[in-house]
Amino acid sequence: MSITPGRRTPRRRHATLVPMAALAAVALLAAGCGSSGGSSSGSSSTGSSSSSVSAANQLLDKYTARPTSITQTTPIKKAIPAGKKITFISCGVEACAIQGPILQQGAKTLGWTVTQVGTDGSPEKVQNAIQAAVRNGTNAIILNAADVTTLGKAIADAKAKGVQFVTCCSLAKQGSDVLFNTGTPEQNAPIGDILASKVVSQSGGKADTVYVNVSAFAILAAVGTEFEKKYKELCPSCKSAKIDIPLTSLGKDAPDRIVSYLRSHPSVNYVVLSESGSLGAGLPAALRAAGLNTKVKVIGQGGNQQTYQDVKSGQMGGVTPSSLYGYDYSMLDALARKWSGEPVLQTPPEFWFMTSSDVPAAATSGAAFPIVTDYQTQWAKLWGK
Amino acid sequence: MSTGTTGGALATPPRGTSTAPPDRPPASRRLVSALAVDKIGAVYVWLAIIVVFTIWAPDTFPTLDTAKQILNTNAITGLAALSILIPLSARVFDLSFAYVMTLSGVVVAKLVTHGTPLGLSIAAGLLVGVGIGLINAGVVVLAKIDSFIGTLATGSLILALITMVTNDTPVSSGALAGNFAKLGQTTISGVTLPVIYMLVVALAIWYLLEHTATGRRLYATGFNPDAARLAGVPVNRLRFISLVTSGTLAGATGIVLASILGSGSPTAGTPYLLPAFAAAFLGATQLKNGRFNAWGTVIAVLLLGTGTTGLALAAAPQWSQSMFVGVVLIGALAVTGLQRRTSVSARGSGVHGAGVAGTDQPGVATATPLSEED
Repeated sequence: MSITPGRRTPRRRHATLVPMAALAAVALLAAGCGSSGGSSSGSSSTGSSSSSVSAANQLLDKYTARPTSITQTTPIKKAIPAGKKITFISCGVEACAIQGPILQQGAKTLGWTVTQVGTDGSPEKVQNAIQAAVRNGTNAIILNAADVTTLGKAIADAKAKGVQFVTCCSLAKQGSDVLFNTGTPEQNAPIGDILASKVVSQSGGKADTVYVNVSAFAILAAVGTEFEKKYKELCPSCKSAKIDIPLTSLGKDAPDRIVSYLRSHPSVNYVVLSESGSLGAGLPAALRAAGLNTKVKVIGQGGNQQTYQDVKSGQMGGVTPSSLYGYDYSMLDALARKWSGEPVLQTPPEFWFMTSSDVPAAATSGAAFPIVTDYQTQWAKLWGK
Repeated sequence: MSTGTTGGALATPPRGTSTAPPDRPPASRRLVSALAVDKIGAVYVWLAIIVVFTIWAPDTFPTLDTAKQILNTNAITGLAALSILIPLSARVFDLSFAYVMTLSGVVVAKLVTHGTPLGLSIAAGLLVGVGIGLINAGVVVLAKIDSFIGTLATGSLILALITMVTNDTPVSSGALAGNFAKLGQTTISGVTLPVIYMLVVALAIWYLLEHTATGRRLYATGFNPDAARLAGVPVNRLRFISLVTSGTLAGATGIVLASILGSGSPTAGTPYLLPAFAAAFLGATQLKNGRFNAWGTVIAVLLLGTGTTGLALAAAPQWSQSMFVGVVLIGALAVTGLQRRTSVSARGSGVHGAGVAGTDQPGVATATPLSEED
């Protein structure tokens, strides 16, 4: 059998050129439409008044020392019933998963048990977990970072059977369905003040800052708003801009997006991360490779073990670590007050701006670390244990 | 014509035919063929993108720093794409590679954190990749489970292992900032070592696929496993080895990624799942007319990387990068389909000769589409 090698006709050559070039052109044109990726503000004059820098110093000084007291101060006078069963439904990501052991530790002090149920955070899985927990006779369900608006029916059904709901780090409003929420946007807002004061203080009022946000993390929106407000108040002449990183870039090309922004805005000398754990992964290495590590200082909110390691090694200028122990013990405290018949009290978490010189060993050796070192003793005292 | 009993009749070929091998096309024609749009169309698109961004962001894009940034940022994607190239050539999917990357990274990070010497830790991480590759090979080849589903399932098992090892929290310590970090963070004239690793791996895979009998057999297996088996190609053995190889390469990539991150992240490899396949498939449309190939993959990675970095430097909206990647990928796959249909129709029945085993002669391999240079 003879074979005639296939010969491409000019028509077929054009057929390969046209779609690729056209599609690439369309992609670029479509991408070119719309507004620019960053919004900026600030005047062009340099420096800020010494009183503004002084105000920034004073504000920052309140948060540079590690807190020694938990924020809850009202003891529970009535007896707290023992033997309660609590189900912790984890959202699946690292920041959620590490709260399970903390809750179990606190529950043990109260004579309760906590069962941790892992999910991927999807509404369907969380609903199933709620229903299973109710069937298993749980007295309360702890959710973190959950969108309770998608769980309305499951929560209502559970509430009808006397199950209490407490949450952390979500947009839920305390009310008939949710007994208690901590780590709320309003409670997180002061973090913006801390970060703004750090930038102004350290820069001497000569900062040009980019605030890197992940708008998908709606819980942190108030941090960004407060940062911008306090930044302008403390340093009206300082420049600032905000860029948004899509969720799909986290863990992948987020560092590249930040590096690209810095390269296209060479006057920027501060980078503020709304969530240091996810945005900071790989960022120090990317900045170093681009030769930017000595030109910009990076600070942020939250973080994880790797972030604290970066702070300790000087690759990051500092962070406000999340008070996970504060959140979790506050949630248990709310349940204790509810079941003992006392009013449920709301208190903000502890805030601390941690720098390289004061990173504790626990921050880099474990999944989470308590802001207040003797938190267990202080909470136990409030609970009469 | 009579049969072969009359030597004279067979000594002279029939009038109008020739048994002499066809003359090799002149060099100029080969060059023109090599630079044809259907061979390196993506390179022309890449050049067009460079021109566009040079005009769009003239202060930042057309610089050496940008070139280095593109290389540095996309080295891991390139390594991940290269790791799945060999099984793809044999028409085997390995969807577990991203999880292998993660698991290797966290295992090495754990060991280094606990004081294990770096060399041993890296060896253990590589063994993890080899081990997973062997499991995948067992599932796909021995248990005869479709590779797409089989490796998806093993990926789920690996995810469980990752959670067991890390409890879903990153493995981090100061110990990872020393020599371990140098693996992925050392730069040479602004280019990070992972870029070098990517080029070395690409060179090795190129040589394997294009200049060895094993490579020809892999392609034969991928194009038509039944025909390849009938031609004497050890199809199952090749598929087995391809999965072990991809597991090993994915493991090595995961170790480099952990070095870049400075920690063993339980989610490090997952974001590379789609980009790696995108680069491999886009790369198959280049250079080799629908065959998965190393340099086409590298070109694809850099093309996509140039677009996304250019869009970032030009302050394009945040959704633009994903749109760019999606559109280019759809376009590339459409072109690949067109090329494959063109090749199949040009080859007729698609089976010719039985000399593929043990030969490196270009143009003799039967299970691969004929192209103009064959």
